[in-house]
Amino acid sequence: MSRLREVAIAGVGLTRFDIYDGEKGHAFKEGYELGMEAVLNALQEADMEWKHIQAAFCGTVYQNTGSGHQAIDQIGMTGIPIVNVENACSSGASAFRLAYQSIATELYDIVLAFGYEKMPRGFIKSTAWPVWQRYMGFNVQPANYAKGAIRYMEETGATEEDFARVTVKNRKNGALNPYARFQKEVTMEEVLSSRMVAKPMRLLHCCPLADGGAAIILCSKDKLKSIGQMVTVAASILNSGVYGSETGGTGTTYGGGSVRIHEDLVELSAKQAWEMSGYGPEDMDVVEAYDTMAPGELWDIEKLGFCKKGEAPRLLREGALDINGRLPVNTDGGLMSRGHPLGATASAQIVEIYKQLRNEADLRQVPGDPKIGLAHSMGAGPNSAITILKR
Amino acid sequence: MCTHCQSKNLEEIKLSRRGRIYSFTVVMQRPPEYYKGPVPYAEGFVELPEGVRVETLFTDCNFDDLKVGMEVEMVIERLHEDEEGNQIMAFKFRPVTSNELPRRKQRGIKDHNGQNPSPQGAGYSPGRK
Repeated sequence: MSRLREVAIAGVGLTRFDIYDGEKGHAFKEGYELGMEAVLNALQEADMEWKHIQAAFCGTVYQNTGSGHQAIDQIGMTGIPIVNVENACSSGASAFRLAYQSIATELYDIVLAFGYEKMPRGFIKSTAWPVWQRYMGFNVQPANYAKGAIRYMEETGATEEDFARVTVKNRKNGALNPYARFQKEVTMEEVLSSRMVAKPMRLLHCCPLADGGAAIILCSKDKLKSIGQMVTVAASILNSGVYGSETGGTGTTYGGGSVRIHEDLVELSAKQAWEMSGYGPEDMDVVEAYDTMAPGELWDIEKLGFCKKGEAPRLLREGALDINGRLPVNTDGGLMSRGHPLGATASAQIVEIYKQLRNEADLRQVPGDPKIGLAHSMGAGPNSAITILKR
Repeated sequence: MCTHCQSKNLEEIKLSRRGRIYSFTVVMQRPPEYYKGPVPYAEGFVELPEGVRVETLFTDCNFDDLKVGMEVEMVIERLHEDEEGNQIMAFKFRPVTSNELPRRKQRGIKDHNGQNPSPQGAGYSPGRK
């Protein structure tokens, strides 16, 4: 790793995550317009011009051919390479990693990584499952987490209330985030009385869908223009499944694969992230964990090494995971509040860590001058991506 | 091919038709495509003694009674009928309730599909629990 040069974040940009279907008071925007807006916001924050960008990587899942091209065509084609990355819910982090690598290896100095999505409605359709499994009804995403949750409850004694508490905390944080789809708190009672989707997962244990875009411009340190504190990339890791992962599924079911699992995918990513960065879990000041379903945040924190298995519910109960706790998790409200535009989600997680490290997170700013943060995303395939940023 | 060591030197083995529930869920909402069976439906993983976990639908059971560790056995049962009227069959697992099961079946107990349960899985022996 010593041969890689250091890579800085030049600027970030978001659109509000929301519904852009033109109905019920919502504005209408095409997916590529959301991508374009996020990129223009990032350019402005980076104090750079479009002509400075030397390459672009775009993460999307449902936007058809040339998603990055569609968005960039609104800004201007300049002959740079545009590469589109589909890696399910980790697409944004996978695009980020390619951008990072291309600067770290000195191929380019200034590169754009972004993600956007205009989501189809309803249960997420996934072609990641073989057709016969779809005929069997195994392709329901909340059900995959439900099976993980049942297992997690069995092994750790966690309860449905513990899961509900994740939603309550994240929606409380989301109420402070003007870019989140849901900016309203919910109560334990509301979560626990919402309708059952896949036992024991209720509607408010599931993240909502959303449309949106998120962009990050990366550069070599000598090209930095924006004022404010410099944030650099300490680790960028991607792992796509290990022996024993479910085929096709998220890989996030709690140890539930087709065979007994020898190595856990998230634990593998964490191990590599600590190795690459030289840090350990005790060094992290702020974390974005993967809460596409509420219990996922709990086992994510455990597998990333922030506590022992089964201890996350207690940390949550004690307030350790709150914005002013000792390990703030999902300070922007997580997927639970932001909503989940697949291609943009993992990019938005990195954006939040960047803002926190620069003390630019306004009402939801983690106190105590955070210096190091981690973002973790998962996705069908399966995929697991970790980004560590430092100031 | 073996997805652990990539060897092509494989042999078929006969797996047990009985195992224990590793995890499960009851899906309350119709999946986005393909699945045509009843909703709600129960599915999950069954761990077989050989160490393999099989993802499966559960049948012939009260959803509220499903538990991790419950002993279940495989049956072949109708999944759905296709557009041409063909009966599409699939493996499913059902709880091993008691040795009474064979007689219950003879009395024509219906499963939640309203179908006659299939002939019970081979390997079932009344003396085994």
